[in-house]
Amino acid sequence: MAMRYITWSLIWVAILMGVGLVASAQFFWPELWRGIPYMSFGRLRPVHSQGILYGWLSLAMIGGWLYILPRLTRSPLYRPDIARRALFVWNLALVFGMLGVMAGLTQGYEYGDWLWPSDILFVIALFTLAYQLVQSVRMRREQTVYVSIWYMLGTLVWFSGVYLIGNTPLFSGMNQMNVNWFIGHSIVGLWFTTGILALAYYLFPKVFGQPIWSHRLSLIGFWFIGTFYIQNGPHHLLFSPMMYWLQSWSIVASIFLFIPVWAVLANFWGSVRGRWQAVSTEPSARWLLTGWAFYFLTCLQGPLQALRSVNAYTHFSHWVVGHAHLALLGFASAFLYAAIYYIVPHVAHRPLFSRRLAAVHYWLYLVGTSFMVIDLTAAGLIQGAIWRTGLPFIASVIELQPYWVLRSWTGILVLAGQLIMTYNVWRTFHPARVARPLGAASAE
Amino acid sequence: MIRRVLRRLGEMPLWLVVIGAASVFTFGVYVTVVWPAFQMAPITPEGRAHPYTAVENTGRLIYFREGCWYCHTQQVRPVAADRALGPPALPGDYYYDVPQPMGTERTGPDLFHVGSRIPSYIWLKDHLVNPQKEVPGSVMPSYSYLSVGDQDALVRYLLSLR
Ligand code: HEC
Repeated sequence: MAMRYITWSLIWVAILMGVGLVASAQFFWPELWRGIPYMSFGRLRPVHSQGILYGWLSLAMIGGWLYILPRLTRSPLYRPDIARRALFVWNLALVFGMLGVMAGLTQGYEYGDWLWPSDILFVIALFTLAYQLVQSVRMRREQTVYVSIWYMLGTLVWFSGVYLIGNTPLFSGMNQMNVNWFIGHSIVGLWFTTGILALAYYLFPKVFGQPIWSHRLSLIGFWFIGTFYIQNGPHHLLFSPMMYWLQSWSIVASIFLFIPVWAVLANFWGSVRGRWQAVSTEPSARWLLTGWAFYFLTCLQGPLQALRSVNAYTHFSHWVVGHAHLALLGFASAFLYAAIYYIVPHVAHRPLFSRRLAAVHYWLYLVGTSFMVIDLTAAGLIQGAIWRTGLPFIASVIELQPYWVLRSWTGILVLAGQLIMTYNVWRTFHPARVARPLGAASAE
Repeated sequence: MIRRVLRRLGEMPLWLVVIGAASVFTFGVYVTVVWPAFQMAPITPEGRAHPYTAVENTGRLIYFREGCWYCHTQQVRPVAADRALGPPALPGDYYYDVPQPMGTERTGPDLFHVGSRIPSYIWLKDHLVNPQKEVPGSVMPSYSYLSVGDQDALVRYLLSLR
């Protein structure tokens, strides 16, 4: 079942990175899709942003959960058919949402862009999956509960609440902006971060062959993330007409996040210490280290840009886009690649088709992602500087031309790496050239 | 003492973990969503807020449908970068706005007071159809694909942002 989710995530990620690339061409080739409403930038952007969240990251992450859970509980999944049906509903929500925004159906709400039928389908899929996972945990044979299970259950509780409250159409004006950033920030904080940490807490000890440093530290991290991440949302609204105390409090809550982040990082370091040789034997090791580094950078940058003095300069600029890619293409995707490169050979009962291709993917990804983030961050700083000078706005547009071109090149590298990975995974399951559909042969 | 608390923490049964997780979540929602919602309840229209006419409202919905707000903000802040954009936003400015149009990125300029900065119907319409012709170097997409009625509504909406 895990492989079904992962297969679909790989299908979606290739499409959606492609959409991102096509949308990015707008910035140096505005005439490209002239006259075609479906391809206009304002309609493609939510396909890429929402799609990456729910098509790639979520499906790959759930696939990872479905793989680690039976191993942590030492008992089979409760009713695998639920996960299969939930996947169908999830995909339906994706297709409706994406075609919907392209056709002009939108809620006009960042990170909640897709129209309500797709929300309802997501909720159905999410709640049935949650039921299945909770039942699987309840019927476990292993009595010791590993911290990954804590993180998984916490994530299900938190994200259900976040999704339901965040998509409630009860708010307007300023209030809606507040709820918008409540969900916008918490999707990353209490769905991807905590959900992917559940996988990372499983993978680090397995791949590096050494237990995490301290179980207690991981529990401290758990409670701090749960308490403070949820209160971060309003730091997206600094200098807005939102109440001043709320802005200030969200800054404090952002700073508090240093505690769980460093607890997590120190803990993973405990598994890595002295076991560097894993990098040469296990393809997912380098992805884990890279995810570690990107997590560190993301969580250094996040609280930093939540400070008023920095925010006045960086807000509304491409710096923010850079941060989003550092978090989701850097931290989240690197850990998910680690999970997939770990899971695929285990499910296929065969070594990975080609380590060399895995290495090529890694370097394309690393160079692409790093330069994309550096490029966008620099672009953001330039915008911030120009806006302060009082020059006509168009100056900041013209100045960014080379950065936009470079951004698309980095996107090509990342996408090329992704296609190589997809081929690698496919060939692992189909060593001889037999023409069968990708998901069909996966050992469930 | 701390050690003992930590040991207890590690021995929590799972149902208690779930309840604990739900509790810290509820606390966070209360502080950052519910309490602010009560505090914002008495907001009344002020600043640029006005009830939209039927045409302006159609234009407003097109503004969201076409995703103009991914490239344009409608939020002037009291910071150096925004000095030339007019008076900073007040809570009541958004009284009639669902969805809210504040936006998060300025690939293009802020449009909070665009109606007073560019009061020309003709310029706004020409720019919408062919941005590169009006402003060389612009990367805004052309909206020539909108029907004439849609273009009219959109421009009237922009003009109402004063
Ligand atoms: C790809 C990003 C992008 C999208 C999408 C976009 N714009 Fe723009 N817009 C720009 C840029 C860049 C400029 C500055 C250059 C110029 O004036 O053309 C601009 C300028 C403008 C201006 C002139 C503002 C001023 O102060 O000079 C208006 C009005 C405007 N856009 C309206 C719209 C509307 C309405 C939509 C949606 C139908 C839209 N824009 C969609 C990027 C975008």
